[in-house]
Amino acid sequence: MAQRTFSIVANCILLFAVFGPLVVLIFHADQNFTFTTADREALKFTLVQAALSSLLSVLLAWPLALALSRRQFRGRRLLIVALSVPFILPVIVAILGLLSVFGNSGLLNSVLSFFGFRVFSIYGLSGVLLAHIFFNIPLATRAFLLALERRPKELDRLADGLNLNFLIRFWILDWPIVRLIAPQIFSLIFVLCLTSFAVVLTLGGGPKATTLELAIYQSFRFELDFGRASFLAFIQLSIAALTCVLSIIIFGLPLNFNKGLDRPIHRRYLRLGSLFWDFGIIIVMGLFLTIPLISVLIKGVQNFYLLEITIWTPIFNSITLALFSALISTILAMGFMNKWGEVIGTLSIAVSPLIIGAGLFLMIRNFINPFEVTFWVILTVNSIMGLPFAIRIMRPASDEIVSNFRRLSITHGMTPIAWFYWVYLPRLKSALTYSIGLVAALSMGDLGVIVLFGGANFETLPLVIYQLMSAYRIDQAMASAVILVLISIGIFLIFDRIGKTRNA
Amino acid sequence: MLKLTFAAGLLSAGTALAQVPTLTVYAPDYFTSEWGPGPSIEAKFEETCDCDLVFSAGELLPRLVLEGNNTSADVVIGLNTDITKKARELGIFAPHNQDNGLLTLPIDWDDEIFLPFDWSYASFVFDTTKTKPPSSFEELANLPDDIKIVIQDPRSSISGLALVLWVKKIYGKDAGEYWQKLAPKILTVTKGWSEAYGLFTDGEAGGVLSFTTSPAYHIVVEEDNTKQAAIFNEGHYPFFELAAKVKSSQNDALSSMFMKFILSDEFQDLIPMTNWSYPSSQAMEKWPSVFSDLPMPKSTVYFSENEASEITKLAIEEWRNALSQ
Amino acid sequence: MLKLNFSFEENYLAISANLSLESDKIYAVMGPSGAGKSTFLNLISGFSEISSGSILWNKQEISDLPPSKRNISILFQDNNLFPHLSVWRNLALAVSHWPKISNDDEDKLHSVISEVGIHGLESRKPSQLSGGQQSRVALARVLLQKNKILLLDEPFSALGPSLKDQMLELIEKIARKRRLLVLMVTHDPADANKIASQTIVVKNNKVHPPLNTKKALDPIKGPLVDYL
Repeated sequence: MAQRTFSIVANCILLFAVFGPLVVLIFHADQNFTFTTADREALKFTLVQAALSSLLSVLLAWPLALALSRRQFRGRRLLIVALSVPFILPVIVAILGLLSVFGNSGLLNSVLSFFGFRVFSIYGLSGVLLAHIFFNIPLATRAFLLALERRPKELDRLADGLNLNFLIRFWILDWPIVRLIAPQIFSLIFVLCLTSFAVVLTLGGGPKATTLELAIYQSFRFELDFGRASFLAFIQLSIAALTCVLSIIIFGLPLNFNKGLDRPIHRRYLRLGSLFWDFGIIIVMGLFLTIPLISVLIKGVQNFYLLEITIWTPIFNSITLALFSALISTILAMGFMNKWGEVIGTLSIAVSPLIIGAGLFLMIRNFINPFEVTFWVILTVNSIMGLPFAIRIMRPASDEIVSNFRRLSITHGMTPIAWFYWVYLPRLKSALTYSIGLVAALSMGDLGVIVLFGGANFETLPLVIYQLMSAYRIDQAMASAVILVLISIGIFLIFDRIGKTRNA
Repeated sequence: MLKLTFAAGLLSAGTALAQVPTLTVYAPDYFTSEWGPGPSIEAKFEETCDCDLVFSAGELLPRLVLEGNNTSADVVIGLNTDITKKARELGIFAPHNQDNGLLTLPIDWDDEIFLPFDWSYASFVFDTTKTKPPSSFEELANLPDDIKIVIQDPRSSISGLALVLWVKKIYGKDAGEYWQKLAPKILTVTKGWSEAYGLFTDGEAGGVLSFTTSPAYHIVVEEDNTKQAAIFNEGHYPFFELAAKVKSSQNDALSSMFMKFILSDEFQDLIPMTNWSYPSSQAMEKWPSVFSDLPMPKSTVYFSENEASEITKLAIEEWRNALSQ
Repeated sequence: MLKLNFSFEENYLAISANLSLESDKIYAVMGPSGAGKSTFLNLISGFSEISSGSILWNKQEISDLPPSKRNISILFQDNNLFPHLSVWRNLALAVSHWPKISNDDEDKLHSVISEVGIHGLESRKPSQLSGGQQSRVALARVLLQKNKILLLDEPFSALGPSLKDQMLELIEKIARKRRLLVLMVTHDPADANKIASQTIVVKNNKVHPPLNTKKALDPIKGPLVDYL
């Protein structure tokens, strides 16, 4: 009952903070429902690239997650952490990283031309897909990995005992997890790709690679046509909603695992063939994901001497913002631990931060001037942006706790508070801290609504990077980006460590 | 940290108690940042005004539209010519009351509302270690195969829009055709100027759409003389940054004082080295030598505000169609 | 006295019951798989709700009470212990939900711990226990709840034969001492023979009144012939 109440409160907060602004903006402005040829083409391209990006990310993430789940090796944890980095890089920095490998003058082309091959160009659909895969494989891999690690070890032992072959093993052991995680992660990545536009445009090589988000941005910033901006935002939201609902209809309710004690990880019998396969995957994907990062790191570290002492304030601001928004996202997420909660949570990132910011402004302007409470507005929007990640990370664990221990708790006659304290929270701990760590890391790198509300009085690290780039200081920007990444990784690792410690 | 934020709030309340009038100036992020002209302008102005100049950073026009008459802005600085018509129609700006005759722009400026504080020409900047900069649009389209350029999307970037208008002015109804011809040279199109410039300095492209004044940064800060702006025989499209007084401001005297300050040497002296552009009301002799030594386009091509607003949609559509093939 | 007179219907399952059980006896519950033995226990304990009828415990209607108020303890097939909590905390939760428990409660815990023979394991986590030890801790937990009815939904099915026998003996001893009504779902006639004098057969959508276990298990004429 108490959980129901919390869930309702959380839903209301989200509705108020996300869909409220959109609706307010639609009705505030002069309605403009024009949908041009350019919009139609943008929509078509958006759908194609988003569908392909999310499909490929999920397909490629699976073998990687499986390989990582069954191999122990030195540097494994570092690799897993490194996997989350592309996601938190400021867009332009990530693009430069990718181009250092795949660009015209990148590593790959240098090698190819050295051996006399023709230089290839990644600009186009392939570039867009490459970038989106680069950003999102880590997300999908972590989701799969988390589910694989929660799978009762007894099942693996059983499969080993029965000496099941590769296919049967996949069907019995792996497919339920794929079925559980893939649709959720697919729709999340889909929505992320739906709303990306700087990446799409830059690596898409020109205006044929355009998303609706660009039209929203254009209407909002240049044409001051809020009616059209919110109308397009509404279309974008509808597409996201449709995708989420479809994935639920097609895949139905996720299955769940029931049994399993917290046994230590069991080393299973390893066949030589699968050993090569696993490490092949880990090495190839690992290189794909880390070389661009390493190149960013090198560029940044070389320029550390350019950093100024003034960078401390934005660093503190960003850390504060990141920790608070991660905490809020994670707490709010506990109110969305069901399938519709997941859909609503995902939809909240389908609304452009500009729209949320502008709508929020209209909603609260009669009470307070939002530009005087920049910190709180940015905090609100960042918390919303982190919500779907927090929900996705925690929901499988949450479901499992409920299905495994609800009955036992009832026989103990536990009150909601006792249940929360003795069972839910401690069982959720590792998912919870992972969520806080990841959302904080994401929030660190998010420029978000600060562009609209930003400013002289409250600067974050991503904003400073953006300002440096606008002031020609790209080297200093790269150095700051590396600082950003290091702090994000630090936060992430600290929370990861907290989550891994067992309760005394 | 929260405490610090609150403390900062208290501090600003403290200065307000000192009974100095506050001048609130809305400006873009790049302007107010540590590396932009904002901080030094603030310091210079406060030396003489007996006031507190407060920059408030963020998107300018969307914010002004949202705030309507309740805006706390006295002055807005950092607007661009492409948006003046829309901004004018909002009716929230007051005449600047400055003498346009003091301006040293390549075109005649008779706008009563918007006052340019700096300017530059749109231009392609090249890495001369890779190629000699072309001297016309035709040469640009005929650069060697391995030299590519990066431009900005006119729908999300003002410099991108300046280029589209520039090409439209030169080629008229053949603009679409020219874009098709140029298309193979264009490595990619970015959301904004900084992404494009980042690709360029990173060596991914040989040239980038920027400004004739961009090389000054590399010369002054990096002592790098290899970045050069291409000067086209056809003439260049100028790009102005503007300031305007907000009608609802309660600080009219102070606002006027600031507008006047904009045209003064104190302000104009700061522009080249902080905003990497030409001063708007200062004779070339007074510019830093780096700037006066930069190659200057021989002629200027320009659409008036009304012409531009009529032609922008079409020009962007031509651009989009040509590059979408 | 537990008087059951109810019916239950759900998508795939319907059962009805009309029987009385004595307060201090051990009953085996047997029947084909899927007949509804577990559901039967869930209905008594309150994890499923009866569609109509009544459940009377000493003439008191309990079918509208939540599971924790029914004077009933239940041991499930699995998940009888919280894996992240120590044995001590698992047991302490049966008497109090506060982090600190009273001296009285501590004494209760100690006495139950020696009763089921798990001395010295208090600080361990369930995963550090053997199967038999886990069963004992689970049993200790239900004993602490001081309920008069104990439902066993095959909690020992994963144990080896000799461990299982030990547990059954322990159950019998404790049930006799504490005068408990025990309902034990099992597939193994030996279990029933060992500690249950009476057997309830669940079959053909019906919970049949208890029979003498020997009769119920009769290999020729008994009701479980097809199933055994």
